[in-house]
Amino acid sequence: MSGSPYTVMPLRFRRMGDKVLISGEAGEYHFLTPKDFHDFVDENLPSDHPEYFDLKSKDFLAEGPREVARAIDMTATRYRTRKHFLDVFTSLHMMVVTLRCNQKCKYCQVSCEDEEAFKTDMSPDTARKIVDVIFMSPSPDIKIEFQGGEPLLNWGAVTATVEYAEEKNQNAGKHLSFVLCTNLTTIDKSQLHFLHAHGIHVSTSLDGPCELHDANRVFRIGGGTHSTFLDRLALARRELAFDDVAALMTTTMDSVDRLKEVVDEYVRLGFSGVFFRALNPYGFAHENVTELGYSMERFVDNFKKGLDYIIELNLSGTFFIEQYTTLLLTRILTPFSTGFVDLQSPSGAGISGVIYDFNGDVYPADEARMLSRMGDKHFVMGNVFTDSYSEIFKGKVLTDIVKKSCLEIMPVCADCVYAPYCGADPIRNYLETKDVMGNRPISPFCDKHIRIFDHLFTLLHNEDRDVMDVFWSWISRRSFKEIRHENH
Amino acid sequence: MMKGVISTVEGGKQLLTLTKDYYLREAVFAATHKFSGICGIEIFPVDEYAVGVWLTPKKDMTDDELNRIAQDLSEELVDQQIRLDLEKRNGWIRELIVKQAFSPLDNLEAEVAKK
Amino acid sequence: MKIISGIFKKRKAVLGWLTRHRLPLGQRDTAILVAERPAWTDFGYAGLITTTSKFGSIFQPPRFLAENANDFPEGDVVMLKDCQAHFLWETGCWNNSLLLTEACNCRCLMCPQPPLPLKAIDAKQFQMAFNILGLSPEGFEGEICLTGGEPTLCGEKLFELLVACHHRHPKAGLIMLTNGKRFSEFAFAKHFAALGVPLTVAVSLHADVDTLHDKIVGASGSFRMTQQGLYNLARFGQSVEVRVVVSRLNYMRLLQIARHIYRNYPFATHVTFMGLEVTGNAIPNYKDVWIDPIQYGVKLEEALHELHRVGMNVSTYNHPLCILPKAAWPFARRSISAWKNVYAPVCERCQVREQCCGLFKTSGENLSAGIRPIEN
Repeated sequence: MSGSPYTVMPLRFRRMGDKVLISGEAGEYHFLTPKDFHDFVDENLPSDHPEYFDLKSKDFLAEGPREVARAIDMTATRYRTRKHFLDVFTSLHMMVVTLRCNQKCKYCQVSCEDEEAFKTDMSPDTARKIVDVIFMSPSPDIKIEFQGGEPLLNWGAVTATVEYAEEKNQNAGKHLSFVLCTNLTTIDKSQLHFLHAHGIHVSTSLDGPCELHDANRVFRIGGGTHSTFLDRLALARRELAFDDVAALMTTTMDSVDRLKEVVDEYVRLGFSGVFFRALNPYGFAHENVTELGYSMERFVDNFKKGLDYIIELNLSGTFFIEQYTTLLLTRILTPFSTGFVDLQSPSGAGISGVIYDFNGDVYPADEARMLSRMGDKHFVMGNVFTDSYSEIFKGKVLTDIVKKSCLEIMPVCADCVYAPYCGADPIRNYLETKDVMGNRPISPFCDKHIRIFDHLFTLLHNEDRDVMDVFWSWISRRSFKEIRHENH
Repeated sequence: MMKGVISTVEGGKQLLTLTKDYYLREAVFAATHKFSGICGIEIFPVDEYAVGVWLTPKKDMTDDELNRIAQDLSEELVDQQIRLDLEKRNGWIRELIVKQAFSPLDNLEAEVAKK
Repeated sequence: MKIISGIFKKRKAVLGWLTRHRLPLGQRDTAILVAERPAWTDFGYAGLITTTSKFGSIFQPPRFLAENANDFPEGDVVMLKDCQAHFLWETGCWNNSLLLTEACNCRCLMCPQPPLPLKAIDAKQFQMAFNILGLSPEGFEGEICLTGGEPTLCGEKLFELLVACHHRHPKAGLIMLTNGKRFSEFAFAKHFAALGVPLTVAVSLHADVDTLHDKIVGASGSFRMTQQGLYNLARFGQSVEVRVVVSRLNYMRLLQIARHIYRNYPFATHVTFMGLEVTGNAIPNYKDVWIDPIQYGVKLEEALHELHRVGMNVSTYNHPLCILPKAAWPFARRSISAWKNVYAPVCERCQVREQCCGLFKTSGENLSAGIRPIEN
């Protein structure tokens, strides 16, 4: 080792205005002035400098070989903790039970099927075969998510899956849960009873108040779905526990500048949070590119405004979270592993979450399934009828994705200060560039995340107590009053 | 503009001449790659001491905007140099961290002492 | 501990448990009888506490003359020595301590009970602790604090005592105060965990960097050993607590220490920030360690809030309410042992006196300038 007083531990950095943000291998971060940063990396920072203690405490520097070894060990432990989702392997299993839908939402990428096209409905036998493969996963938690089209239209596959899975679980002893992704507009009481009896959660879509929702979410036969949705939502909440229904929104040109109204609608209807989801600019059919209309810059500018508004709501007594912010903050501020399939390194596609088609084909993500329908079979992992678990989950398709989706070795990502908190989307990369590695300078996924991370870290640097208290109430799922000890 | 960088604008394109002493090849490639979304990049040898980079904007740009990009790129060059330098000095530590995380070494201290 | 003065003319100290009951002959030798009017049949006890100098007899056990028999509750374990009754176990107290050794492998600048040199590891002290345990009435349900010096220096014998303690008081909450350094030895930590005794290990940590911590505890290399000890305890699923003593040396880093604890020891079941007891080593080192807590109140509140916010269980000991920012009050605990707990004269008028921990008798006049009654 050199004769210098300390060793600089591996770090990534980014200049942000008048400061430099650095992050360590296991997600530690610190802000420095540019001068202090340069002195530090040049091994010229004196040991009585005000930043020295903080840098040492956060394992950014270590003095001497023994300390370096110790810092490596600590960082390795923390690194392993963050990657715990790998141990768990595949916990999210999505089943596309039908491509039919009673709605024809303008931005929908999935369904282009006529309501009469039954040949892409999953049969109960196929569903059961899929459940057999699902239970081969080593994960102690299994979440089965019904998707479509509109899963309610193939109710037989849903019930067959649930009943068979519960039966199998009597021996398997896993922590089994179900989610139904549905537009709710055709749901009836008997279906709700079934959901209630089996503890199935509902994930539905609400794009905002009537005008915004109906701008894109329309019936196949025409007309807006908002009032029907409200009616069915009320019914669902009577039959299930109130919090068993969660909602997501999709940001469109109509709503991108009006996120506050979306939040107001969510609050009005008693939801406890929203997820500001952007549309992917490269829509499934490339002709939709111009349809999308908003740049990632515009989306994130509005995201920031929406987030500010939500923080204000919390400060005035309404507990309401923005889910993506909560996920990212959990990654930045806590040492724990967070399973979120769409933002992981290596990518969660295939290893954390997997999707099964009506015929038993297995894909790492939904876009991979759609690529296949258009003739590109690049990402077919296998089929539950013809391939063994090993062939599907240890096959070439999945190993190729995993190898090429570790941020630590991807160009630009490898140097990015946000690498410990971000993730890869190899399927999207392939869609955009025909290369699973992707090309960061032209990636809207990267653009969006850089902007959001920049904003969050600016807030973290400010350390405004109100904002931080709100953030932690989201991360730890406690009321703001409890954080502030206002119950005492 | 950073040390070792000369910048001129010619016919809507930006030319940066970089002194090789200050900027290693890998730094030049890594830095220019980040701008490949907004500019076409062409890298060529000028002479034995310098490397040239043509930046051709993909959309129409004013000279001011071009200069701004050149400025950003030259700052990025410095940062890439820093990264390369850090990697050379301490890249081995990152390897050990990942190894230790998933396949703990019997004697980590000995491994470190070797360096 | 609680001490009551009296008249005791014997040279040899007497240890026993207090009782007012006349016991069968075979059970008397470990008991100290408390009797206002002793009888001539009261022989064979380890000692006798009485309020009268009459009724003497040559068969009588060593006699301790006290002013008030009510000062001597049934079941307490007492040592009679040099005209003082030392209460080593009090049944009426919610917590009792067992001092296992006076030796220590640190030399904390603020140590209230400065240790003996290591070579003088005192088997006698340990044996005394064992004896007190044996005399304590079974089934104590309060908190038993195992302390020293550094308890882990007792090695194997410590393990025996832990097992015996758990056996005798299965419902008691056991807590051991330690610097955690010996737990850095994997085998020691493993053996400890294998005992299966439910116990909270309360580890002292005074900084987030080695140089500062080692300076405070007066032993180089301590920080790393304590850290490793904490990790080993966590590996074995043990209940771990972190205790930070606040002094002039570390008060400016309280928030960083809090963050360090969250990042590195998120498994800790409790964290506490303790005010200084100005006695022992804190006296010669006064200039280096003393700081009026009023001066760090804001920083302390930030640290407490930080750990509370992230969901850890955090509190502060030994800080009277008047010198804490109000936002820190929910974290303050009545932490000072009854026998050394006092209040200042001005506290008479204070409206929150009942909730306040008060002051250390042992700190004497070394108090904050900010002690004042809170009058809403």
